[in-house]
Amino acid sequence: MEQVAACTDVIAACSSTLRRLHLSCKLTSNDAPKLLAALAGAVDKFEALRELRIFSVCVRSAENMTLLGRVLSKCPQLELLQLQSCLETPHVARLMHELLGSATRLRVLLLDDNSLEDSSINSMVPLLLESRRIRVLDLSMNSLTHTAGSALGGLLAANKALIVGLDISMNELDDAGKAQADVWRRARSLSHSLIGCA
Amino acid sequence: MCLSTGAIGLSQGLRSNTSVQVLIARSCGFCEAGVGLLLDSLASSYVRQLDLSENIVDNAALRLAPLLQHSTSLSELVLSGVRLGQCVAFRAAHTAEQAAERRRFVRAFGDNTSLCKLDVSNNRLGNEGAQTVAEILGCNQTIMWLNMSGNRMTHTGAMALARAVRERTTAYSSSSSSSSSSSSVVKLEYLDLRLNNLHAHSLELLAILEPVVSTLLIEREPEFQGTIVDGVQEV
Repeated sequence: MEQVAACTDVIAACSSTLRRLHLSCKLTSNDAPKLLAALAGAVDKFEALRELRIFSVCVRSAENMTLLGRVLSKCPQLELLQLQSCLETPHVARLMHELLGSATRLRVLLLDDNSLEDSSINSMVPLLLESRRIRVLDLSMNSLTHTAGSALGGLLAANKALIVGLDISMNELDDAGKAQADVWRRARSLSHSLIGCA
Repeated sequence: MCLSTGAIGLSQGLRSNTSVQVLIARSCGFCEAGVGLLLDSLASSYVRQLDLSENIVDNAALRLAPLLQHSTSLSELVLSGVRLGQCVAFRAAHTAEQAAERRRFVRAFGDNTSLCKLDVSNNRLGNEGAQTVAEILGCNQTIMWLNMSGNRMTHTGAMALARAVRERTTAYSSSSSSSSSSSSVVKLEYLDLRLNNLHAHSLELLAILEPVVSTLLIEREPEFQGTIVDGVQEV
């Protein structure tokens, strides 16, 4: 609760010339609406916002997603959006649809460490292809498999001149190498421990 | 046999893509065949930064050669924890074919003129692998940052590296003092040798490398430090 209050105070104190806003709150789905409501109530201050980073605010319910969508639709100058540890697969497509429709300057989209599944990527790719403006896409630390790998391949193939940076780390795009890599990592960390003890 | 379904889709996209400059795909579960497909698809790309760490690379590393030879943009290559020690290029050659593979691999680094940063940490390269990296340093002119930590290297491998670094610095000094020289060897600025079996020789290595490398990371000899705690000597 204290964190929500502190964040809402910060949002209330923002001026309309605000360029960058980073919110790292660790809010559950119960507390997140208060923060999102505070953001939604201050959207007139986000006209000039270029960079919005939100960390660990649970935006997983449809209501929260609607609030966030409302905020993002009022950030016409937004160039970078990071939603780290905020999302889950349901409703992401709708959020992306609203986002890519309104934030016409958005170039960098960082969706790392969420629980996004293949269906999120499958629904995002057509939107990304249509909007043709995202240049940096971070999908690291999600729950993507080979299906998402193929969808991203389609994005790369069709969207020839746009995506400049892509991070797909820490997903299980291939099962086959996963088990081998885990065994290798464990053995290596054991041998490092032994060197440390030597 | 690994089907590499995720890598197939991605590599198909990358093959016709001309825009990707940064591709970070750490720990994606790619196996040797999948990494091979990805590297093949990047052979004529404009990728500047490539990170395939924590996947299974093994002999697929050999398929880096076309990318290294053709690319003028690749400046950062991160292959940490990818079992490079299993690749024939980093092992002693027992057949003429293996020796030829190894030579081709090293020559590809020599042909490249853009690579600045090479991270081959945590690969169990051992002394034979360190010898390959020393050969790479001997023929490549642009690498200035090298991470060799966690490679089970002992004095033999480290000395091979140290000699290569020293020779490179000599070449750098003579090329920079001669204004008419067309050679443009870059000095190695950063070398990480931590997490190897070098404790007993750290002072000797320090003496050789300190004058020629700006940042050297190496575990101190326990007696040198007075405790058994792993320390880092940053020069």
